[in-house]
Amino acid sequence: MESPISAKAALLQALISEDGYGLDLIERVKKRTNGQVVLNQGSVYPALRDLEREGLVKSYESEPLPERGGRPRRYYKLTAAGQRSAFAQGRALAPFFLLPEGA
Amino acid sequence: MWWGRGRSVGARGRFLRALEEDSTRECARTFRTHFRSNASADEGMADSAALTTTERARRSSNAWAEAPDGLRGYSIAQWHRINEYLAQELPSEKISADTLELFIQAALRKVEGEAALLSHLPADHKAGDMAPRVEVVTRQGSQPRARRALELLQVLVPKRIADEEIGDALEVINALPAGPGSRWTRVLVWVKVITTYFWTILHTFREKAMAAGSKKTE
Repeated sequence: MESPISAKAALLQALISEDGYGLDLIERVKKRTNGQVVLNQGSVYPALRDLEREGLVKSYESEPLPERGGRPRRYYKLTAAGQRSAFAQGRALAPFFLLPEGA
Repeated sequence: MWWGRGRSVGARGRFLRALEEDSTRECARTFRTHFRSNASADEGMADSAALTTTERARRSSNAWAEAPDGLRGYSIAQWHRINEYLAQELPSEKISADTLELFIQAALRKVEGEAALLSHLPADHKAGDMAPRVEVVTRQGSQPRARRALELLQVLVPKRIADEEIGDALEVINALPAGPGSRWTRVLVWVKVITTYFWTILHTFREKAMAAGSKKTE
Protein backbone atom coordinates (compact mmCIF):
# COMPACT_ATOMS: atom_id res chain seq x y z
CA MET A 1 0.00 0.00 0.00
CA GLU A 2 1.29 3.45 -0.93
CA SER A 3 2.16 5.61 2.08
CA PRO A 4 -0.04 8.74 2.28
CA ILE A 5 2.97 10.96 3.14
CA SER A 6 6.66 10.82 2.29
CA ALA A 7 9.19 9.19 4.58
CA LYS A 8 11.04 12.47 4.97
CA ALA A 9 7.92 14.37 6.04
CA ALA A 10 6.98 11.63 8.50
CA LEU A 11 10.48 11.62 10.00
CA LEU A 12 10.52 15.38 10.45
CA GLN A 13 7.24 15.17 12.38
CA ALA A 14 8.50 12.27 14.48
CA LEU A 15 11.64 14.19 15.41
CA ILE A 16 9.78 17.25 16.70
CA SER A 17 9.26 15.78 20.15
CA GLU A 18 12.70 14.26 20.70
CA ASP A 19 15.82 12.89 19.04
CA GLY A 20 15.58 9.36 17.69
CA TYR A 21 17.44 6.59 15.88
CA GLY A 22 16.34 4.34 12.99
CA LEU A 23 14.42 1.58 14.78
CA ASP A 24 12.92 3.98 17.27
CA LEU A 25 11.74 6.34 14.52
CA ILE A 26 10.10 3.50 12.56
CA GLU A 27 8.11 2.60 15.69
CA ARG A 28 7.35 6.19 16.55
CA VAL A 29 5.96 7.01 13.09
CA LYS A 30 3.82 3.86 13.10
CA LYS A 31 2.44 4.65 16.55
CA ARG A 32 1.85 8.34 15.98
CA THR A 33 0.08 7.76 12.64
CA ASN A 34 -1.98 4.91 14.00
CA GLY A 35 -0.38 2.55 11.50
CA GLN A 36 -1.23 4.70 8.47
CA VAL A 37 2.44 5.34 7.73
CA VAL A 38 4.81 2.40 8.06
CA LEU A 39 8.48 3.04 7.35
CA ASN A 40 10.96 0.21 6.86
CA GLN A 41 14.68 -0.30 6.63
CA GLY A 42 14.57 0.44 2.91
CA SER A 43 13.06 3.88 3.31
CA VAL A 44 14.07 5.20 6.72
CA TYR A 45 17.87 5.30 6.45
CA PRO A 46 18.13 6.89 2.98
CA ALA A 47 15.52 9.44 4.04
CA LEU A 48 17.47 10.29 7.21
CA ARG A 49 20.71 10.67 5.26
CA ASP A 50 18.96 12.87 2.67
CA LEU A 51 17.51 15.04 5.45
CA GLU A 52 20.99 15.39 6.92
CA ARG A 53 22.46 16.37 3.55
CA GLU A 54 19.68 18.95 3.19
CA GLY A 55 20.60 20.41 6.58
CA LEU A 56 17.23 19.62 8.17
CA VAL A 57 18.59 17.14 10.70
CA LYS A 58 21.96 16.46 12.25
CA SER A 59 23.18 13.25 13.77
CA TYR A 60 25.37 12.12 16.64
CA GLU A 61 26.48 8.77 17.97
CA SER A 62 25.71 7.23 21.34
CA GLU A 63 28.14 5.15 23.35
CA PRO A 64 28.82 1.70 21.82
CA LEU A 65 26.10 -0.69 22.97
CA PRO A 66 26.62 -4.41 23.59
CA GLU A 67 23.23 -5.40 22.15
CA ARG A 68 24.37 -3.85 18.87
CA GLY A 69 27.59 -5.85 18.81
CA GLY A 70 29.51 -2.92 20.29
CA ARG A 71 28.24 -0.43 17.73
CA PRO A 72 26.82 2.94 18.71
CA ARG A 73 23.33 4.14 17.88
CA ARG A 74 23.16 7.09 15.53
CA TYR A 75 20.62 9.58 16.83
CA TYR A 76 19.08 12.27 14.67
CA LYS A 77 17.85 15.66 15.82
CA LEU A 78 16.16 18.53 14.02
CA THR A 79 18.22 21.58 13.12
CA ALA A 80 16.64 25.05 13.30
CA ALA A 81 15.80 24.77 9.59
CA GLY A 82 14.38 21.31 10.21
CA GLN A 83 12.17 22.61 13.01
CA ARG A 84 10.84 25.39 10.81
CA SER A 85 10.15 22.93 8.03
CA ALA A 86 8.49 20.43 10.38
CA PHE A 87 6.21 23.05 11.90
CA ALA A 88 5.37 24.46 8.45
CA GLN A 89 4.30 20.98 7.35
CA GLY A 90 2.55 20.30 10.64
CA ARG A 91 -0.81 21.78 9.69
CA ALA A 92 -1.04 19.76 6.47
CA LEU A 93 0.07 16.57 8.18
CA ALA A 94 -2.10 16.96 11.28
CA PRO A 95 -4.71 14.42 10.05
CA PHE A 96 -1.99 11.74 9.95
CA PHE A 97 -0.07 12.67 13.09
CA LEU A 98 -2.35 12.36 16.06
CA LEU A 99 -1.35 13.14 19.59
CA PRO A 100 -1.36 10.04 21.76
CA GLU A 101 -4.69 9.14 23.32
CA GLY A 102 -5.63 11.30 26.27
CA ALA A 103 -3.25 14.11 25.32
CA MET B 1 -5.30 23.59 17.54
CA TRP B 2 -1.97 23.54 15.76
CA TRP B 3 -0.48 26.03 18.19
CA GLY B 4 -1.81 24.02 21.10
CA ARG B 5 -0.03 20.99 19.70
CA GLY B 6 3.18 22.97 19.25
CA ARG B 7 3.15 24.06 22.88
CA SER B 8 2.46 20.55 24.05
CA VAL B 9 5.27 19.06 21.98
CA GLY B 10 7.66 21.77 23.19
CA ALA B 11 6.98 21.06 26.85
CA ARG B 12 7.27 17.34 26.19
CA GLY B 13 10.59 17.74 24.39
CA ARG B 14 11.97 19.95 27.16
CA PHE B 15 10.78 17.49 29.77
CA LEU B 16 12.53 14.57 28.06
CA ARG B 17 15.70 16.62 27.70
CA ALA B 18 15.60 17.47 31.41
CA LEU B 19 15.11 13.80 32.18
CA GLU B 20 18.12 12.99 30.04
CA GLU B 21 20.18 15.61 31.88
CA ASP B 22 18.90 14.35 35.24
CA SER B 23 17.72 17.80 36.27
CA THR B 24 14.95 17.22 38.83
CA ARG B 25 13.92 20.84 38.98
CA GLU B 26 13.63 21.20 35.21
CA CYS B 27 11.87 17.82 34.97
CA ALA B 28 9.25 18.91 37.47
CA ARG B 29 8.74 22.29 35.83
CA THR B 30 8.35 20.94 32.29
CA PHE B 31 6.23 18.00 33.46
CA ARG B 32 3.81 20.48 35.02
CA THR B 33 3.81 22.64 31.87
CA HIS B 34 3.03 19.61 29.73
CA PHE B 35 0.12 18.53 31.91
CA ARG B 36 -1.27 22.04 32.11
CA SER B 37 -1.90 21.88 28.35
CA ASN B 38 -2.79 18.17 28.36
CA ALA B 39 -5.45 17.53 30.95
CA SER B 40 -5.07 13.78 31.14
CA ALA B 41 -2.27 11.26 31.29
CA ASP B 42 -0.19 10.71 28.21
CA GLU B 43 1.00 7.16 27.59
CA GLY B 44 3.21 8.11 24.67
CA MET B 45 5.10 10.52 26.87
CA ALA B 46 5.31 7.96 29.67
CA ASP B 47 6.84 5.46 27.24
CA SER B 48 9.33 8.02 25.93
CA ALA B 49 10.23 8.99 29.49
CA ALA B 50 10.73 5.33 30.38
CA LEU B 51 13.01 4.88 27.39
CA THR B 52 15.05 7.94 28.37
CA THR B 53 15.29 6.78 31.98
CA THR B 54 16.44 3.32 31.00
CA GLU B 55 18.95 4.70 28.54
CA ARG B 56 20.41 6.82 31.30
CA ALA B 57 20.37 3.92 33.73
CA ARG B 58 22.20 1.88 31.12
CA ARG B 59 24.98 4.45 31.13
CA SER B 60 25.17 4.44 34.91
CA SER B 61 27.51 1.68 36.04
CA ASN B 62 25.86 1.54 39.49
CA ALA B 63 22.38 0.95 38.07
CA TRP B 64 23.73 -1.92 35.99
CA ALA B 65 25.82 -3.30 38.76
CA GLU B 66 22.82 -3.61 41.06
CA ALA B 67 20.64 -5.04 38.32
CA PRO B 68 17.88 -5.93 38.00
CA ASP B 69 16.60 -4.36 41.22
CA GLY B 70 18.88 -1.39 40.69
CA LEU B 71 17.14 -0.50 37.45
CA ARG B 72 13.69 -0.72 39.00
CA GLY B 73 14.80 1.31 41.99
CA TYR B 74 16.45 3.83 39.72
CA SER B 75 13.24 4.41 37.76
CA ILE B 76 10.96 4.60 40.78
CA ALA B 77 13.34 6.85 42.71
CA GLN B 78 13.46 9.25 39.83
CA TRP B 79 9.68 9.67 39.79
CA HIS B 80 9.51 10.03 43.56
CA ARG B 81 12.16 12.73 43.38
CA ILE B 82 10.15 14.65 40.77
CA ASN B 83 6.97 14.19 42.79
CA GLU B 84 8.61 15.41 45.99
CA TYR B 85 9.95 18.43 44.21
CA LEU B 86 6.48 19.26 42.90
CA ALA B 87 4.92 18.76 46.32
CA GLN B 88 7.40 21.16 47.93
CA GLU B 89 7.67 23.78 45.23
CA LEU B 90 4.28 23.68 43.54
CA PRO B 91 1.78 22.19 46.00
CA SER B 92 -1.18 23.74 44.21
CA GLU B 93 -0.30 21.97 40.98
CA LYS B 94 0.65 18.59 42.27
CA ILE B 95 0.46 15.82 39.69
CA SER B 96 -2.23 13.27 40.45
CA ALA B 97 -1.23 9.93 41.93
CA ASP B 98 -2.78 8.16 38.91
CA THR B 99 -0.63 10.07 36.46
CA LEU B 100 2.54 9.39 38.42
CA GLU B 101 1.57 5.75 38.63
CA LEU B 102 1.21 5.66 34.83
CA PHE B 103 4.77 6.97 34.45
CA ILE B 104 6.19 4.60 37.03
CA GLN B 105 4.43 1.63 35.40
CA ALA B 106 5.80 2.60 31.96
CA ALA B 107 9.28 2.80 33.47
CA LEU B 108 8.86 -0.62 35.08
CA ARG B 109 7.60 -2.19 31.84
CA LYS B 110 10.71 -0.92 30.10
CA VAL B 111 12.91 -2.09 32.93
CA GLU B 112 11.35 -5.58 32.74
CA GLY B 113 12.83 -5.91 29.25
CA GLU B 114 16.23 -4.88 30.57
CA ALA B 115 15.89 -7.15 33.58
CA ALA B 116 15.29 -10.17 31.34
CA LEU B 117 18.63 -9.45 29.71
CA LEU B 118 20.35 -8.88 33.03
CA SER B 119 18.98 -12.00 34.69
CA HIS B 120 21.79 -13.92 32.96
CA LEU B 121 24.40 -12.05 34.99
CA PRO B 122 26.77 -14.37 36.81
CA ALA B 123 26.10 -14.70 40.53
CA ASP B 124 29.54 -13.36 41.45
CA HIS B 125 28.98 -10.15 39.49
CA LYS B 126 30.46 -7.33 41.55
CA ALA B 127 29.25 -3.74 41.72
CA GLY B 128 31.03 -1.52 39.25
CA ASP B 129 32.45 -4.39 37.21
CA MET B 130 31.17 -3.85 33.70
CA ALA B 131 32.88 -6.79 31.98
CA PRO B 132 30.09 -9.33 32.62
CA ARG B 133 27.61 -6.99 30.97
CA VAL B 134 29.30 -7.45 27.59
CA GLU B 135 29.67 -11.16 28.11
CA VAL B 136 25.98 -11.50 28.92
CA VAL B 137 24.94 -9.85 25.73
CA THR B 138 27.25 -11.83 23.51
CA ARG B 139 25.94 -15.05 25.06
CA GLN B 140 22.28 -14.17 25.20
CA GLY B 141 21.62 -14.09 21.46
CA SER B 142 19.77 -17.16 20.27
CA GLN B 143 21.16 -16.99 16.74
CA PRO B 144 24.97 -16.89 16.79
CA ARG B 145 25.25 -17.84 13.10
CA ALA B 146 22.88 -15.10 12.08
CA ARG B 147 24.88 -12.62 14.12
CA ARG B 148 28.12 -13.82 12.58
CA ALA B 149 26.60 -13.42 9.12
CA LEU B 150 25.76 -9.81 9.95
CA GLU B 151 29.26 -9.22 11.33
CA LEU B 152 30.67 -10.47 8.01
CA LEU B 153 28.57 -7.95 6.11
CA GLN B 154 30.41 -5.21 7.96
CA VAL B 155 33.48 -5.66 5.76
CA LEU B 156 31.45 -4.82 2.64
CA VAL B 157 29.80 -1.62 3.73
CA PRO B 158 30.96 1.76 5.09
CA LYS B 159 31.25 2.13 8.86
CA ARG B 160 28.32 4.47 9.18
CA ILE B 161 25.94 2.12 7.36
CA ALA B 162 27.31 -0.82 9.34
CA ASP B 163 26.87 0.95 12.66
CA GLU B 164 23.38 2.10 11.83
CA GLU B 165 21.75 -0.67 9.83
CA ILE B 166 23.64 -3.76 11.00
CA GLY B 167 23.47 -2.39 14.56
CA ASP B 168 19.69 -2.02 14.33
CA ALA B 169 19.33 -5.53 12.87
CA LEU B 170 21.43 -6.97 15.71
CA GLU B 171 19.35 -5.06 18.22
CA VAL B 172 16.17 -6.61 16.77
CA ILE B 173 17.69 -10.10 16.82
CA ASN B 174 19.06 -9.72 20.35
CA ALA B 175 15.65 -8.58 21.56
CA LEU B 176 14.20 -11.98 20.63
CA PRO B 177 13.83 -14.47 23.48
CA ALA B 178 17.05 -16.27 24.42
CA GLY B 179 17.38 -20.03 23.85
CA PRO B 180 17.19 -22.15 20.71
CA GLY B 181 13.91 -20.51 19.70
CA SER B 182 11.04 -21.82 17.61
CA ARG B 183 11.24 -22.57 13.93
CA TRP B 184 9.37 -19.35 13.18
CA THR B 185 11.82 -17.33 15.26
CA ARG B 186 14.70 -18.77 13.25
CA VAL B 187 12.89 -17.99 10.00
CA LEU B 188 12.26 -14.42 11.18
CA VAL B 189 15.90 -13.98 12.15
CA TRP B 190 17.16 -15.17 8.76
CA VAL B 191 14.63 -13.02 6.91
CA LYS B 192 16.02 -10.09 8.89
CA VAL B 193 19.59 -11.07 7.96
CA ILE B 194 18.74 -11.40 4.26
CA THR B 195 16.81 -8.11 4.09
CA THR B 196 19.65 -6.40 5.95
CA TYR B 197 22.15 -7.70 3.39
CA PHE B 198 19.91 -6.49 0.56
CA TRP B 199 19.25 -3.02 1.95
CA THR B 200 22.72 -2.28 3.28
CA ILE B 201 24.35 -3.23 -0.04
CA LEU B 202 21.76 -1.20 -1.95
CA HIS B 203 22.26 1.77 0.39
CA THR B 204 26.03 1.47 0.02
CA PHE B 205 25.71 1.70 -3.78
CA ARG B 206 23.34 4.64 -3.37
CA GLU B 207 25.77 6.48 -1.10
CA LYS B 208 28.68 5.81 -3.47
CA ALA B 209 26.62 6.99 -6.45
CA MET B 210 25.62 10.16 -4.63
CA ALA B 211 29.20 10.82 -3.56
CA ALA B 212 30.40 10.32 -7.17
CA GLY B 213 27.59 12.58 -8.42
CA SER B 214 28.49 15.37 -6.02
CA LYS B 215 32.19 15.12 -7.00
CA LYS B 216 31.25 15.48 -10.68
CA THR B 217 29.16 18.61 -10.04
CA GLU B 218 32.11 20.15 -8.14
